[in-house]
Amino acid sequence: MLSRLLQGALVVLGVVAICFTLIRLAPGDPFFRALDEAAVPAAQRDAQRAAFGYDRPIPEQFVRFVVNAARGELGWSHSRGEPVARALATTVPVSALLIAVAALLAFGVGIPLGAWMGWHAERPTARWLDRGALLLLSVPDYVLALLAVMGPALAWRLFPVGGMRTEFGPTGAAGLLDVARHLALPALTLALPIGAVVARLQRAAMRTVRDADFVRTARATGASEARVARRHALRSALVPVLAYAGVHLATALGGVVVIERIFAWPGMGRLLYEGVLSRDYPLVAGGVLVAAVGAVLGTMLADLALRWADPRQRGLE
Amino acid sequence: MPAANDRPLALHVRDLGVRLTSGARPLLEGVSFDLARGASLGVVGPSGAGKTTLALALMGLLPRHAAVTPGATLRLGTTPLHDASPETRRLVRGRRMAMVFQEPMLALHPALSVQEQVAEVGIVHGLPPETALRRALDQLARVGLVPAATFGARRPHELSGGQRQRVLLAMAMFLEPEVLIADEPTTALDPALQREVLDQIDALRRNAGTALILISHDPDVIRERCDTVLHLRDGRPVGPATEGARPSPITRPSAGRAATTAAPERSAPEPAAPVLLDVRDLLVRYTGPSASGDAATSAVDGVSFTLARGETLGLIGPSGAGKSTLAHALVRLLPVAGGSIHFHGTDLTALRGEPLRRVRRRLQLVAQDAGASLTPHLTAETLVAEGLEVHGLARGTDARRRARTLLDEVGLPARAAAARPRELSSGERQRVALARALAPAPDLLVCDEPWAALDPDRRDAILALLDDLRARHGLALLVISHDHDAVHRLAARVLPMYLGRVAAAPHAAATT
Amino acid sequence: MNARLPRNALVVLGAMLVAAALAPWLAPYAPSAQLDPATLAWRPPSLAHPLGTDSFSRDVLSRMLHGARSTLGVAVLAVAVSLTLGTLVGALAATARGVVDALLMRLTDALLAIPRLLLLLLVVAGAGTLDLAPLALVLGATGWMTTARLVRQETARLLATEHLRGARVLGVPWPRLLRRHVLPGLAPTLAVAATAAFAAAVPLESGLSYLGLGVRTPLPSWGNLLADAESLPLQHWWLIVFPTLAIATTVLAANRLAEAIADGMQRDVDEGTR
Repeated sequence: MLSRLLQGALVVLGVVAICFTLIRLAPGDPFFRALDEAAVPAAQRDAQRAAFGYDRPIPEQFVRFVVNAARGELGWSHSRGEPVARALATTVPVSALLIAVAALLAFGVGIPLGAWMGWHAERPTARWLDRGALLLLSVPDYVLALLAVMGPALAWRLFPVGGMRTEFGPTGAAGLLDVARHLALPALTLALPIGAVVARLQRAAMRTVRDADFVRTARATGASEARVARRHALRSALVPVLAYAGVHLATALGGVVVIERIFAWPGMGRLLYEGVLSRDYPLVAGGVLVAAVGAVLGTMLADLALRWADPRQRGLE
Repeated sequence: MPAANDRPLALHVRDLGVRLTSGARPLLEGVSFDLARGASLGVVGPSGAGKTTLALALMGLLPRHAAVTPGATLRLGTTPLHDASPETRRLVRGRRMAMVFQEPMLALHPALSVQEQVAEVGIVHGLPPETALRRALDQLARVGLVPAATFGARRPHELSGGQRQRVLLAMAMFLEPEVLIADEPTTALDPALQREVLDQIDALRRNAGTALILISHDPDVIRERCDTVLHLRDGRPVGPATEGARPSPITRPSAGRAATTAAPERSAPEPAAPVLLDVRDLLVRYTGPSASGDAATSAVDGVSFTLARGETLGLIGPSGAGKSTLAHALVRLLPVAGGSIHFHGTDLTALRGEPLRRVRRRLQLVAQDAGASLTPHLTAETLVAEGLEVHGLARGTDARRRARTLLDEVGLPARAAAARPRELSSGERQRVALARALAPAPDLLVCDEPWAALDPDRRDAILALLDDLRARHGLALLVISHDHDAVHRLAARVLPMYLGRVAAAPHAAATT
Repeated sequence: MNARLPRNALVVLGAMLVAAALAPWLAPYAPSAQLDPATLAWRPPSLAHPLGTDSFSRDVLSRMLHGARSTLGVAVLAVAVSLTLGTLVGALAATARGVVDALLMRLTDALLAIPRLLLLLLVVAGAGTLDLAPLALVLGATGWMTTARLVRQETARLLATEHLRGARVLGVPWPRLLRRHVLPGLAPTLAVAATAAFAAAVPLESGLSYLGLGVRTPLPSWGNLLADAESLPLQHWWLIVFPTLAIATTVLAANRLAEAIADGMQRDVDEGTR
C-alpha cells in the first residue's frame, strides 16, 4: 500500500516535471514572453519574474516552479488580467461538475448494460447493442455535441442551447433545476462516447469471466444465474473497467474543451480555449498542469478501487 | 459388491452421452453405471478420456458448446434428472449432489474470503447468512483448517494448494449431499498430502453417508479407495464397470518396479568412459509467486550425480519432484542458486554470454511440450537448419539439405519439412524438436518427459527412436519421466527423484 | 495469422485513402474556388453540387475530397511518427527490463496522464499556427504512449514464450533471436497499434481544425467544414451531416479493423499458435 502511494507521488512529480519542461523549455520562451504583453502591469511583470526565477539557472527554476505550484501560484494571465490560479479556481469546479455527472452517467449506465451484454453475448440484442456502441464511440464528441445542438436543443426545444444558467433566472431550488437543465445536454454528450467504451469493456470482461472456473464453482453450489452473475462474476469483471476509469479521466479532460465551447459551458475547457486564441501561454500551461495532476490523482483512486475488486493486486502495470 | 437391493441407489445412469452442439464427434458415449448409497466409484482413464466431461454432465454444468445426448437416463435417488427443468437441477446442485473441482486455485473466487465462499452453499439453499457463516467455520475446522477463523478470513491466493483443496471439499460437503464427485482432487499435491486429502474425503463421507465418484488418472489411488471402477478411453467406457483391484491397462505411471524386461541395447557405460557431466550439490529455488503458501523449499535441493560419455541415465519421480526444473537448470534456462554443473570439465554455472552460447552446441534439451518450443511461423526445415547455422556448421542450401536428412532420420515424411508446427501432429512436432536438438551434434541430450502425451504405441516408437539415435550419434542421454517402465527399458542406470532430492541408491523402491 | 478481417472496414478505409490520394483529379471544382458568392452560397445538395455549397459558395464535394487529404494525410503521418517512437520505447523497455523498463514506463504513464488535446492546445498557444506537417509531427509526438505500452506488453510476452526458450537453448544469438523469432510476432500488435492510433488521430485533427486551431481555411479539412455550419446548424445541415458521415465511417472502420486483428491475435494465443 505504502509503495503504491510512493509510486503515485513519483508519477505526480514526473507529471509536474514534464509540465515544467513543456512550459519553460518551449522554443521562443512563451512563458516569460507572455509577461511582455501590453496588458500586463509592470509591477506584476517584475513580481512574476522574481517568483519564477527569470534569469536563474534551470534547476532553481524547477524548484521554484514546484514550490509555486504547491502554493497555488501558477503565473499571470494577461488575457484575463488576473492570476492564473484565480481564473482556474473559478472554472475548475464548473468543469468538475460536468465531468462528474458525465462520469456517473457513463459508468452508471455503461457497467450494468455492458454486464448484461456480456453475460448474454449470444443474443441478437446484445450483438446490436455492441455494434451501436462501437458506432457511438467512432463519432467524435464535438460532432455529437453539434448533433445534440441541432436536434434536442434547437429543433425540438427540449433543452436550452447553451450556458450554465438562464440570465436573471430563478435561484434556490428552482435555480438548481435550471442548472440541471443546462447541464443535461453537455453531460450527456460527454457521457455517450465514454459510456460506449465502458459498456464494451464490461461486455468483453463479462464474456470472458462467465466461462471462468470459479464461476462454474459458484453454479455448482446451486446459486441462481442472477446471483452468480451479480455476486461472483461481476466483481471480477469490473477489474478492467476500473482500470479504464483512471485512463478515461485524461481523455475526458481533453473532450471537455470542445464540449464546453459548443455549449458555452463556463468551465476550464472554455477558459483554456480562449486562452489559446489569445496566446495566453501561462494560462493554458496552468490548466494543463492542473488537469494532469488531477488525472493522476483520479487514476490513483481508481487503482484503489481496483485493489478492492481484486485483492490479488493484479493492478495497473 | 454389496447387494443392490439392500440399499436404494444413490445414482442411476444409463447411456449417458455428451456431444458438441456443433455436431462433431461425441465427447462421451454410452456410459452406464449404478452407484449405491454410500459406495464409491472410481473413474479412470488417460487425459482427454472424458472423465471431467462425465462429471460436468452429471452435475448439469456442461459448457455452452456441449450438451447431453437425448436418450440418456440419469436418476439421483428417486429424482429423474435427465429431463428435469434447469430450476430442478439447480436446486439439486450443492445440496444433493456436489463436486470438488481440479485446479483449486482457479476454482475459487479470487476476491471473496474462504468463509464467505464456503457459506455460499448454505445461503443459496436458504440458510440465513449469519447461520451459514457460522457453520462455514465449523466446516473449515472439520476439514482440518484450524484455527478456522484465521483461515476463514483469508483469500485463496493466501493458501497453499492442499489448503485450497480442503476449502473446496468443505464447500462440497457443507450440506452433506447424497453424491460427491471429486475430480482429480490430488493431482497437484505430493503423495503425503494426497493421502491426507483422500482420508479427509473418506471421513466426511462416512459421517454423512455420501456416495463418492472419484476421478483420477492414477489407477493405484482408485484401486485403493473405490468399490467399483469405470475405465474411460476416448469418451467410451472400456469394458463394464469392474471391481477395483485390476489396474488400468492404459498407463501405469507410478509403480516403482525394477525393470524386468530385457532391454537388449541398453547403454552400459564402458568402465573407462570419461565423465561428461558432473553435477554437485545443485540448488535451484522456486521463482515467481509460489504455487503453495509454504515456506521456501527449493525445487532442486542439493542434487549430485554424474553421467559418462555415451551413457543413458534415467531420472524418475512423481510430478512435482523437480525433474523438469533440474533439466532446465542443466541447460541454463533457469538460474542456479548453488552448486556446480561441470560439463566437459567446465562449470556451466560460471558461463555467460557468448561462451555459454557456444557450449550449448554440445548440450541440448528436448522439452516436455516439445511442440511449444518451436517458433510458430517458421517451417520445420528452417527450424532444424537453424541448429546448424547458428553454430557455424553449415549455411544456406547446405544447411537445409542436412536439415532434411535429419528430419528423415527421425522418421518424418518429406512433406513435413515445409510445414509449420501447427500443421503437424503433436507427435510430429516432437520429432521436429528432436531433429533440431540433434542438428548441432551434441554430446548430451536431455529429454524431458518425451512420451508423456503419447499413447503406448507411439511411446514405444519414440523409445526405439531415441535408442537408435543414441547408438548412431554416440549420444549421452538423460531421460526424465514419471513412467518407470519406459525409463527402465532405455536406461541402465536410473535415479529416483523426490521433493527436489535424488535418492542415493540407483534403483527406487516405490517412492510413495 | 488467424484474423478474419472485416471486408467492409477494409473497403471503407481503402476508399477513403484512395479518394484522398486522387482528390485533385476526382474533385469537380477547385476546393477554394468561390464559384458565385452572390447566388451559390449556402445551397443544399443538388445535381450540380451533390453535397451542397458552403458560405463562400465553394463546392462541398470538392472540399470534402481535398479535406480528406488534410485529415487523412495528417493522420497517416502522425501514425507513422507515433508508431516508430512507441515501438522503440516499448521494445527497449521489454528487452532491457529492470531499471530502464521502470523508468521508461513511468515516463510513459506520466505523459499519458496529460490530456492529449490539452497538450496540443498548449503547443498551438505557444507556436501560433501549425502547418500540416508540424501538426502531424506534434500529433505523433503526443500519441506514441499507447503504442509503447502495447509493444512492451507483447514483446515481454514473446520473450517469455516457450519457443523463445527453445531457440535460446539451441544457441541462437540474441540479434537473430529478436530478428527471426520475436519481431515477426510483433507484426499483429503493430497493426493493431497503427489502426488504433489512426482511429484516434482523425478525430483529433478534425477537432483541432474545427476549433480553428489546426488546418486553417481556406485549406479544407473535414473538421473546419463542420465549423462553417455552426451558426445555423439546422438550416445548413449538409455541412454537418457529410463531414460527420465521413469521419464516423472512417473511424468506425479503423476501430473494427483494430479489433479484428486483436481478436485474431487472441485466437492464435488460445490455439497455441503464437
